[in-house]
Amino acid sequence: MKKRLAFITLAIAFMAMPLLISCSPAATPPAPPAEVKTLKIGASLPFTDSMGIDTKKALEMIVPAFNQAVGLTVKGQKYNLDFVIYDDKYTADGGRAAVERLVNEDKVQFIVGQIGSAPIVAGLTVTEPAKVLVFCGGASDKIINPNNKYVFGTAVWRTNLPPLFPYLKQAFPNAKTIVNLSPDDETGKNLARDNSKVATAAGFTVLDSVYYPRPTQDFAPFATKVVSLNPDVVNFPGTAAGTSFGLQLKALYEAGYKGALVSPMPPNLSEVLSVAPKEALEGMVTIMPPTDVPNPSSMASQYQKDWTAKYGQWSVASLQWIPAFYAFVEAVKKTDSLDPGAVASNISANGLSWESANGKAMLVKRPDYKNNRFCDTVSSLNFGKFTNGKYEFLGSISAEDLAKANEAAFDGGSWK
Amino acid sequence: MPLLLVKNVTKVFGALIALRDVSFEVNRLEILGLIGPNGAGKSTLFNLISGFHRPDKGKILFKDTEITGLRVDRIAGMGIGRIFQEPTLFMQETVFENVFSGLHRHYREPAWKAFLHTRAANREEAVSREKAAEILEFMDLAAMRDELAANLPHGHQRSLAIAIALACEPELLLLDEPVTGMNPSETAVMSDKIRQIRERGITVLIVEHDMRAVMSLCDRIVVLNLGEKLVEGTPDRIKSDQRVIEAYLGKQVI
Amino acid sequence: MSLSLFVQLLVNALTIGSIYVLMVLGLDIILRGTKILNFAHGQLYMLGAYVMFLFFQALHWNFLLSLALTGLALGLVGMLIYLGVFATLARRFTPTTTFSYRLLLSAMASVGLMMILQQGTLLGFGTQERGIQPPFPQIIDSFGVRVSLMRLAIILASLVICVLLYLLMNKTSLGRLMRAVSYDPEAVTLQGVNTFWVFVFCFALGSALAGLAGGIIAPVFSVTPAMGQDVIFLSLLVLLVGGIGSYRGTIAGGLLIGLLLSFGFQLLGGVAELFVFMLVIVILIFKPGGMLGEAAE
Repeated sequence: MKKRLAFITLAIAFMAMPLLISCSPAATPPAPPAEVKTLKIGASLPFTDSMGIDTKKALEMIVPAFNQAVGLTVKGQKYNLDFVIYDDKYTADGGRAAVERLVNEDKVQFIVGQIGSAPIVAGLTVTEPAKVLVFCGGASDKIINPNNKYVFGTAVWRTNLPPLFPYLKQAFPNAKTIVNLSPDDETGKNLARDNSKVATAAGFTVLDSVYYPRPTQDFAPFATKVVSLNPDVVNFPGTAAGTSFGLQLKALYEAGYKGALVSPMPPNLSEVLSVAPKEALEGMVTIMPPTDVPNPSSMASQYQKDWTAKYGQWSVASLQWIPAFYAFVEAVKKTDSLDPGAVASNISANGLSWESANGKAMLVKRPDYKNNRFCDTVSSLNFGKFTNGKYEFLGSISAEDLAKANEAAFDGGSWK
Repeated sequence: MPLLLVKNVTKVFGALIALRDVSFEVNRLEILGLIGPNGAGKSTLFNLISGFHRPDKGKILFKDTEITGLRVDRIAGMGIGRIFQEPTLFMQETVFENVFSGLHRHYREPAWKAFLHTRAANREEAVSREKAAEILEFMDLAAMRDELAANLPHGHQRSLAIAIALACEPELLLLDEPVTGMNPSETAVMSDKIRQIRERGITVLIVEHDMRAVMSLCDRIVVLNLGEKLVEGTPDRIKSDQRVIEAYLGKQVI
Repeated sequence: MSLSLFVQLLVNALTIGSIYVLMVLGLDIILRGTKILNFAHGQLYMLGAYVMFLFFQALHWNFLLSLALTGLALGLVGMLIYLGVFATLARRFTPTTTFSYRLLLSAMASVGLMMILQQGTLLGFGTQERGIQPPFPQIIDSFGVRVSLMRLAIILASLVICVLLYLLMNKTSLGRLMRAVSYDPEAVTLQGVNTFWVFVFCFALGSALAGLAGGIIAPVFSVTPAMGQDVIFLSLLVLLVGGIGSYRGTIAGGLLIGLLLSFGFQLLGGVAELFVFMLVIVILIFKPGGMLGEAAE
């Protein structure tokens, strides 16, 4: 009997092991020098997604370098930043669990660098009452809901659209109709709706939005559906930048689609091209990574160099989500306080600007959402067209001009 | 030398002593009956001999070799066949296939040889087919060789179960209630068949409730009661034994 | 609906359907042969894709050779899993352990195994999503019908595998033995056969089929640690719909799911998947043993 009990316990322990592994903090804290204090920062990322893993790797690269080079100094006290990262599985449940753990167990007061809408929105139900400051990516407009006081969206997915469609028009003057191909979750539906709004304003007709479940691998039925609608342009709002995007492009190519392509998010080329032939990407208009423009900024080149030296294979996706970190650093410096309430009210009222490898960026108000707090982000952006396996540079826009373009596209008042 | 020797066997299930210190032997080419009221331990004894259970004490010898605790398939391979009360047939196969497969398994030729249809395997298959036909003839099943086992009447299913067991060429056959539920004429046919099986050189050990059949069929009888051996002897002796009558509480048949 | 669209949808349906057929044949062989409901079957499919990636993409071996070796490798993995996990578990059972308890415990063990394989792959290979360049990237484009050659190759290969499996199960004594064991292992034991190795073979064969399914679809899909998660649930549904223990039912069920997903999405849009689940419920209400399963008869 005892033996059996021991066996069962062992079996249960074995089964539970993967759970424990997946939940354990990813970064172990380095021992700080005596005079420097450690500041715990929380993050939740989907470890089930290459985007999440690359963002985790990015944090593991830039944070130690930041600690070593300058560190965060508040009221004369130097702090080493220590990131505690949990897996949120890109789901609402996973996000809420991760954030609850960060807030209640690890007692973090800042959460920096989440990327998925579903986990972020679920996490807000914990962070807002606990007055925990959140800098996050994610495309959901629930992030910029006026009831929230402690969350700042640092990704450009809600603001990058107005200039995208004019560039599309420039590249394909005869294109008139668009079909959206999007995941059927929070991110995908929000983005498909925003894309449709902006595309319509730019003179396109949106025929339909086709939604697929996020883990889909067989895109043939969706591609066939899109092709049978016969659009001039296929848009991919909210699509994950990796092989999922590649499989969609491949399926469209195989289904005989010959029209134009537009993607609001730059593809992760190495992963996309591992599943899709080069021809499938031909003519795609998209945001061009800051590392691929004719004269990249020194920060962008340095970032790419450091990444390649540390991890080998270059990942554009890793770059997209780091602005949250720089925004957080600037916000704390500007307020010179570690009180999340003080930081939040300062930048909510006075705005914030920062620079990262991803370009210059600043916080804006969202009067179209009746939110008069500086809560959302505009950034300098580059646009390109994919031709013969490479980006062809179409043009760029500064953060200020992007804000203006948005003001014009979404009515409601000044964004500054 | 007895064919099967059961020596001081005890089997306990939790708090229940199913068999206590039971010993008896089965001689070559006899038909031995194993009787006793419900719960006497007859099925347990069968399970111990065929290897489904392992005795807690005592041992079992087959042809002077100890088989206590061997795996079921090893015991079967040594020449002990067993037929359950509910025939275990492969219902979706034909009567012929049921017997043929049994033969095939018995010879155990490597599967890849059959797959490649080597000559040896082909020859073996031809021999198996002949043998299967002979066994079906013997069990009076030749006429329905292409019927699905599932479609046979119950009595014939029992015959088929015996045919399958015969295919493995046992030296000792354990029969679990072979005539229970049969009418007198069917019982007579089956009893006759069991005698013919003995004439094929196979020793038979029977558990049976039908006393009339047991008395007429068996050479010797072992009576179990409450897990212990009550008495053993010829049918005539058993019939008149006071302890047996008491154990059965005056059943009219005896 | 145009002819071109119809053919495309049909080819898609058959591709996906044939993958499910391979998956479910494997599940069924394992379930009936060893009485294990193997929830880790999807992870074996995922491992098949990884092994295929290794042989075909990384080592540049011939496609058919890589596929055959993938089947063998997964057969070996299955064998080790059976010996290491399920046989060890079965040794804990006594003759009085009830059938349902055995089934439950082995299913729980397979759930644990599912997580171990999943997380192990994540830790071992990382989350990088990989692709396999298809060996037949050509698109056949004639009479206005566009069909991917790779998808046709997958359908053909699945067909060949099914025929080989049919021959194995029906024309060899090993197949006959496997069927006999799945029907009544005790009776086979009484015929002097050590059924243990038949169990091992059943599990290995089922695992090999999952590996072949994963390896064969890998050039069309991408290779990720999570790819086994979704496929297992639909496979279990196909198993229920087709009926446990019926090869015809499994093939019909797999193809039906393929057709429903492919045409259903075109005609009904996003509710197609919902429709599939509703159909499953309806079939199970009226035919609790599945369309062609043993319990239906």
